[in-house]
Amino acid sequence: MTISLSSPKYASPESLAFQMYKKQQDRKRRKNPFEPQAEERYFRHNEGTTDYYSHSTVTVDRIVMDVKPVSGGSGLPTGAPAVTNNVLQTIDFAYSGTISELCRNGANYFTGIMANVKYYFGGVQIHGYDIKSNSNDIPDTIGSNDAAVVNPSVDDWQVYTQQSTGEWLGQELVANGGFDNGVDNWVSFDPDGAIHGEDGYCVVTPVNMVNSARGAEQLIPTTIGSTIRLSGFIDATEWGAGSPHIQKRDPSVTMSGVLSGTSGISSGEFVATATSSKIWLRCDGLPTNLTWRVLHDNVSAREVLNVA
Amino acid sequence: MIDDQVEIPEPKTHSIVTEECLLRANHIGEPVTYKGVTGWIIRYVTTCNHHLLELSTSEARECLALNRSEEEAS
Repeated sequence: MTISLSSPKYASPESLAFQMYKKQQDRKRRKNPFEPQAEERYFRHNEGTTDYYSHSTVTVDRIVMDVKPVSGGSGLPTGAPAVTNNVLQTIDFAYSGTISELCRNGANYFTGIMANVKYYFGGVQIHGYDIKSNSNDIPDTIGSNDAAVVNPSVDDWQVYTQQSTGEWLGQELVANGGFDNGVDNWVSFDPDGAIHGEDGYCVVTPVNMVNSARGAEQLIPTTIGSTIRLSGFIDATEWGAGSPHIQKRDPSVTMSGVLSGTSGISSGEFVATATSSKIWLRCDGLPTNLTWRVLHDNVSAREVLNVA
Repeated sequence: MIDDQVEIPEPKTHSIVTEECLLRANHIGEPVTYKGVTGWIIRYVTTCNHHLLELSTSEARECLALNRSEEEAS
């Protein structure tokens, strides 16, 4: 075939043809201002051992902030109300005197997420800290009293996308959860079973007829205290008995299966107790035929910031 | 047949280093004594000559709790 360069794309930049082509491309790339855009931002997990925020001393009489505590309100400024663990909530309280630190109050450190801090004095907001900079420098959005993270770790920062429900979802933690690359990143956790990729599914089959738990597993990175939403699809129509399910498995707390015994999509949540968590695609029972099989697909685990 | 849970060791994320250690910017070493070692606890693992002990997060919390209770007792 003869290659033609008569396309307006390759026309002289001064030509009408090229200008029309350019206008058409610009229109295609234009963002629709009326279409709601998903907001994306960083939140920082304060580990609560030795890390906190420091800024120059200021006098305030009211503080408003969003917090997602892991172990109560320890380390919050004096006067903060009681808080609910594992939920992102706004607290608004009177404060008396000066303040120079956040996430630390005396010897107590706050464990969890703090964001959108607003300091007021005399009914006027005087300082603001969104805490979304993904760096050790926390800009003051109102004045020039910037804060800094003391004793930081780069792993503390994670990016989240806001959902239509108001909650925030973190990045996908499962690798190859759609099984587009066979069963890469997954391994069989029990010698009584085998796994293989087939048409974009993970297929679990028995290799013998003993009563056993068998299936696929993957270790995902998690932040201690974070709430993880685990979901997936199971087709159990070719599994004769027992209860195929997807579950969080270790190290000390076993989540009950988010989908058990039937086919379909479902989800559940667990609070991570370690810096890694194991996900099991599990098929229990006593097979009476080696043709039994379960299909798994779209396995997903993302941190969720549930909003109060 | 496997139905038991497997414990996964927590990775080491903290160090205790000698007071001579030049810390990174924004790091303030907290003086501690833990498992017979005295130094600064910091939130990263270092490989420098000042390195004394590596700790997991839970060990770091235990170390800090022990040192705080000693301070309070004195």
